[in-house]
Amino acid sequence: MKTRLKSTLLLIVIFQFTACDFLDEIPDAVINTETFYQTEEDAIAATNALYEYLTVGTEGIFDTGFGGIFFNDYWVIKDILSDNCLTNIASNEYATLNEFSFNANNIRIELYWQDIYKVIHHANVVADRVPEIDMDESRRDHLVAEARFIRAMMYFEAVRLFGDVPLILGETLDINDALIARTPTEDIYDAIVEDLEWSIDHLSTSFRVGLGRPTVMACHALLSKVYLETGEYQNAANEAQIVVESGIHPLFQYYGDLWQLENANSGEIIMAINYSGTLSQGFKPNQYHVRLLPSGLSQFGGPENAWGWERPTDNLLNSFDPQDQRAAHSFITSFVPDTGPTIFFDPHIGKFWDQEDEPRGNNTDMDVIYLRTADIMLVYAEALNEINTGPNAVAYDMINQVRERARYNGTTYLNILPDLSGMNYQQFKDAILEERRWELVMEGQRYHDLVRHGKLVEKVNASGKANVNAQSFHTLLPIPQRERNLNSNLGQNTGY
Amino acid sequence: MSKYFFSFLAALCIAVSAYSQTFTVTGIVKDSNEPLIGATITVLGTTDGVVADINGMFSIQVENNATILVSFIGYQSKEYRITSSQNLDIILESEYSELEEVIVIGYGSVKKSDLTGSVSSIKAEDIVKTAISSIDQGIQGKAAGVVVSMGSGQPGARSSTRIRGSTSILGSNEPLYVIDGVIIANTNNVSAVTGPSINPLESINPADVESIEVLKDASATAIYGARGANGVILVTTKRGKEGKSEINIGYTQSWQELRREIPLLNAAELAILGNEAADNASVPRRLIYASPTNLGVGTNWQDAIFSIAPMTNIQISARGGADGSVFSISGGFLDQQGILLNSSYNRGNIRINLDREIHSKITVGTSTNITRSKLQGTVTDSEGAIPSSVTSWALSFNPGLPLIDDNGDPTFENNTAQPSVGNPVEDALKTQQETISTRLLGNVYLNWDIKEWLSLKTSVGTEVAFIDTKSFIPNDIFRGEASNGQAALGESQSINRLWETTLSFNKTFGSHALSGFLGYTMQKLDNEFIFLATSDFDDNRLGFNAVQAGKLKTLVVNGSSAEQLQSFLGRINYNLNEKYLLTASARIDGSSKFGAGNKYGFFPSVAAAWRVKEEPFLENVDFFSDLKVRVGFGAVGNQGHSPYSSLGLLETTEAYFGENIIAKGSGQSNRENTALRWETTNQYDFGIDVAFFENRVLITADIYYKKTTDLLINAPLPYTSGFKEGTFNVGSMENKGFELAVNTVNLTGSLEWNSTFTMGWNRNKVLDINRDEGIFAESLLGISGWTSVEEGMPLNSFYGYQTDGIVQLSEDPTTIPHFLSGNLDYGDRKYKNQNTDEVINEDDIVLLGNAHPDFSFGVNNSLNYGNFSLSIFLQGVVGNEVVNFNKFGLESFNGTQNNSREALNRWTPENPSNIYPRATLEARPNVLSDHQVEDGSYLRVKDITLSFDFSNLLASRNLKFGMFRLFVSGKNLITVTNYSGYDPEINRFITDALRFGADFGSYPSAKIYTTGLNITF
Repeated sequence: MKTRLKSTLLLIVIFQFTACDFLDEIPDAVINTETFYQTEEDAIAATNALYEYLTVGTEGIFDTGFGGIFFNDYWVIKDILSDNCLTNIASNEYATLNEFSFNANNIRIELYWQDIYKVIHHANVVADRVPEIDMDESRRDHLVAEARFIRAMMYFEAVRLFGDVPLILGETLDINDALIARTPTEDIYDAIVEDLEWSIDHLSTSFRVGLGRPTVMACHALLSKVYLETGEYQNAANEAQIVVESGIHPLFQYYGDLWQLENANSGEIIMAINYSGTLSQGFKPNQYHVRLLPSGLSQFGGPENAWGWERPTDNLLNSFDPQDQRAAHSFITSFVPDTGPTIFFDPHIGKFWDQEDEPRGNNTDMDVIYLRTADIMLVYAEALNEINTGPNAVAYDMINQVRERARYNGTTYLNILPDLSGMNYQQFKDAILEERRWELVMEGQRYHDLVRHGKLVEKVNASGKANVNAQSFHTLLPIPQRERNLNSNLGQNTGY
Repeated sequence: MSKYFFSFLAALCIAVSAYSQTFTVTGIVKDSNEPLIGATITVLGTTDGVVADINGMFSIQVENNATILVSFIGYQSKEYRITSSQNLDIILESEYSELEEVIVIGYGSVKKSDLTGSVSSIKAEDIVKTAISSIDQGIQGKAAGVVVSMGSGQPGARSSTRIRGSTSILGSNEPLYVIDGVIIANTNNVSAVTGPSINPLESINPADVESIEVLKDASATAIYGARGANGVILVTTKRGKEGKSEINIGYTQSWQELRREIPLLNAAELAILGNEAADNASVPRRLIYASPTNLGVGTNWQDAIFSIAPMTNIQISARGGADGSVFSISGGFLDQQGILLNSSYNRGNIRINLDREIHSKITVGTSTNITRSKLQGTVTDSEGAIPSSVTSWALSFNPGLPLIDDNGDPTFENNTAQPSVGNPVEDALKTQQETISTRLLGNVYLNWDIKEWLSLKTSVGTEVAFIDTKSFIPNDIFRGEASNGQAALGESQSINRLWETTLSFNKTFGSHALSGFLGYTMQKLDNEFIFLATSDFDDNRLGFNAVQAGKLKTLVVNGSSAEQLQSFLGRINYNLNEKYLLTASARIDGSSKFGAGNKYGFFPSVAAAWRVKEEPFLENVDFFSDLKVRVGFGAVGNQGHSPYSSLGLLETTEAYFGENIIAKGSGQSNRENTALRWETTNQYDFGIDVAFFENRVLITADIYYKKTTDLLINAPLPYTSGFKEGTFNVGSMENKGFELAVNTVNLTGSLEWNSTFTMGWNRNKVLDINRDEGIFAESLLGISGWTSVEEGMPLNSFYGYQTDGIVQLSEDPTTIPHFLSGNLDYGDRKYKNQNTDEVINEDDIVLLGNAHPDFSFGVNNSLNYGNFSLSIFLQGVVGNEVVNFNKFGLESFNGTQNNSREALNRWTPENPSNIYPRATLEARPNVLSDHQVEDGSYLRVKDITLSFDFSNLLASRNLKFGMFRLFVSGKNLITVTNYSGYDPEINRFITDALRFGADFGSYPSAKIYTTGLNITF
């Protein structure tokens, strides 16, 4: 017995030493980069991730960095960095943007940069890894085309806001690949054009079409805007012409139809960043209603959790023809409760609120429109004016179609905003700028329009906003100081 | 009944032994002067025994060559070999010679006199004397250099322990717990409830504990390698002994009450303040405040949610053994109601410890413990961006509202409070939260004494925990308004398996003694969880028992993780002439959590001790009864970061295409780091143990220095990499400190008086975090950066603005620097401008304090007089700060919520206070200042216990009890502190290494009055 016991014991102890690979780490519930990017499903999943990063990002809800670009910054910053809107959040980060006294430490600017490069990184992952996956070639190319379109969107944001930026077109497996110097603006634009043209060639017309994703028409539309910025006006006009003449995205008859929930992803809307308050688990819808609608109406059955943080300037309100239907739809000044008298308040931006569908506001299904036909028509008109040093018939036609729509109140065309004619180059150019202002309030355009027209300083300082002091160097934002601390190759824009 | 049974047995034995030669031994048992009534005289190897009578006299029949054992609690036992009838005059020595005590160390034990490392030992009687419900409470103040922080007063909630300071930012700072050789996981489980997490140490019933050893320095903890950096707490449970079986019964009944209420405004006072606030902001007054005097005193919402709560604790155990088998079995049941409405904790434990010699050289045994507990709580400790705990609500809810309205419904103030709060009583009664845990902790071992000097031991241990959490918020209360009712279930299961094999040796060659062991261990921990939530309920009746009643699926997630360790370890002790002691140990630890290139770490230690007293030159110095110096060095690790940190992981994303298509995706959430490894702490310790006056004064003092390198830091990455930060081993941190433990025997004789004093002083400093900006902890109440990790500063420091009084009428507000976000008016708070610019901004932020005490201490006095004993335990900390986040609400001075009575001192033109600002509804800067950072020092009479042992009295009536002790005790009866909140001891975020030292909507701790009974027979 004793011997048997001893040998059994020894066997047990020796057995303990035989466990090989005991320390290998094989997670069951999380996927890691070593094992991912193998199948078509993986390719789709990697591409789909881009859309969350565009919308809400993945920082925690109470993190200052919560929200992708379109969650709020895209449409908030461009209009408070202008004569359109002011902010009344008692926070330095917004106050300094509002007054043009921001510096390289401004957190909103830093977060914008962060979100841009986060999306670029993940687009690069798709562009690098998906082509290696064994799957249907046209589907594979389509997914890469989606990623390259989104990468182009991001670089277009970056180059307009920051000028020269590091151009990174591959996954940064080695951290040193991320520590590069700024690439000249022209090279950035070249990369944007290359991405968009590649996307035109490879976007499928049958696999994953539309509904918040890029289409061939979205590529043309974005290209027209890109060329307008680079001064390649003929190209801009050509691309815009394709969009307008295709007839795929006709203008809605009534301006307000753009933000009827039933019209999402249809008609004039070439591409919108899709949100869903209904399907998402709280906090993931964009902040249109939370930020823009007036507070205090909840007790009367109105929007909940609304704060009215950004409001139109008097300068913007007064610039409209009083009967312009865009003003009528864009601003909200009163609320009719179920019972009791109508409540009046200072004008707030109400254009994104489909009051019938979402009476309590807050968590919304409303999308953020990124490209729409009226914008592209005005791009077309602006390009033609530049090409011919004055408006031609098509240019007038484009702007007048937009003005005609603004007369329509849902039943009749009012006798306002007459068709433009007989203008010289500068008059027409100014008219375009003004028309874009009325048409595109809070749609992420105003800052870029003012910069492109060379009117940022003039218009902003004449806007009547308190304490505002825009200067010529404000046509570019500062490179975030945090980024410069970590990457000694990064220079700074002048003035900061 | 058992008494008769044993008498019968005894009679039988005597009858049987009548044939052999027997002697009658008589005698008297005394200490130095008094007879020891009730001293027991037993015959070894038999069940025979008698008890000394009221004069200390006894008489017993024994066989030739038998050995009798004379023992008495608190005295050293004596043995006598009997070869003739005789009369003995026995004098027992008091048990204060601690040097012969055996101390458990990792993978073995040593005589206290042979210790080379820094180890504090806490014995059973110090733990169970009073009514404690978990062992962490028993450690507090008992071991020098160990700071225990309570996270919540919720019964059953976990605490946090720091031994010699914090060593990690991302990893754990909790010590490693080893229960009867099983290294337990001590992790937090996923939870569906928004309250304090359940105490993982609940699987050890304090009544089962034989001793707790705290290994503090690296020479002691290096044997635990990559997990030794935060110290190690070894818990040894009671095992059976051969001889007479012993049965213990313990019963306590306690009553708990809120230690103090925070004085608040009454209804009329709040209304006056509210009107003043409205007037000062030029907005209309609130209608409900129209006639303040009619409102009167109103409702005291604290009275409404707190009450006196009972607690019952019952323990039964039996121990004994014979013929190579010993057993110890026990059961315990604790039923504790909380002082807060609808909160409670109950727990049942069963333990079976068995050992059996299956062969003359082979012993097998088991320690098995099963625990089942149920924790019920209301919502506390749930604060993030806005206060939402019931305790916060009770402080802010309008006292002008009655408990119930005219219809008998709970009152609720709609859309007037900012932020709005629910009725605290209604919420406490209707919101259901429950955590049920089932834990199995145990091991089996086999020990083979191969040779006299060599033995092999292999043991397999396991810890299984099933934690169920459930919560339900009905749709008819404020908390359920947004979700229209919400139910959540969380279930987690963790299984920890450990297999250890050690080969130990112990041999003496003349004056050289050599001992030690070699070992190999494997451990695997598996975790699984599932969490689901639904909302939008029409019917509240089924609560969390039918989550499918919720129309909206809010959340379904599950996950799993695994972690493996594989280690080789060994230790050698060398003892020369009982004078020179040397210990060296090493452990090679492999962990799956480390990067592919860094799987194994090496953790060595060496320590030496010199028993100076044994040297000839001290032989005749009576002044010293002992003198030993110790010096040690070791390298220990911390691998307390989450599994898979070194891998490039993907997260699940969700976007929406159109109105009804959910697009799930996968994006990279962190960068792969194959170089990731353990944090290393090098620790140096110098200690001295000295005893004076025949061991009546024992002093142990240690100084230490710990430097942690390769500290895991979430270092910022350039955004151009696509990531915000990555985890790297780049930081360093140091702790240095001093510890003192003094045991004294002040009086002997009929009145005995012993004292112990422990004190620990620690200084922490973050040396390097490899980044320019500090590491901010999660923001609270919208204040970010209230605490952050900064180079050159201690961990858990608080940052904010210095207040500079109040703007008085004699000043010109426009010339005073202020925040850009608002104007300054008379009666507003001023902040100190720390530089030459004319504004208050981030550049004016200064250090406001630190969460860790300069030193912590505990003083215990025990007095014995005859059958009476009295122990008084004081405990305290000095020099820490607490951020009182409740103050933001309590001093809002805007009339939208109730305020503390400090509001009566607010600034008005007639009352030009320089501390409290004016009332106003205008927004004030939401910043942390020295006004909310308070001194957290306290001195607390933690425990007073007075007991009387009836066993001697009963013995004289022929009722034999080892102990028959009745006691009364009080916990937390007196607290001396300047802290203005409920309790300076409550530390809201104990599980978050970066957010120590905040008080915010916490569940306050209680005063506890206990009566109890301990019986042994």
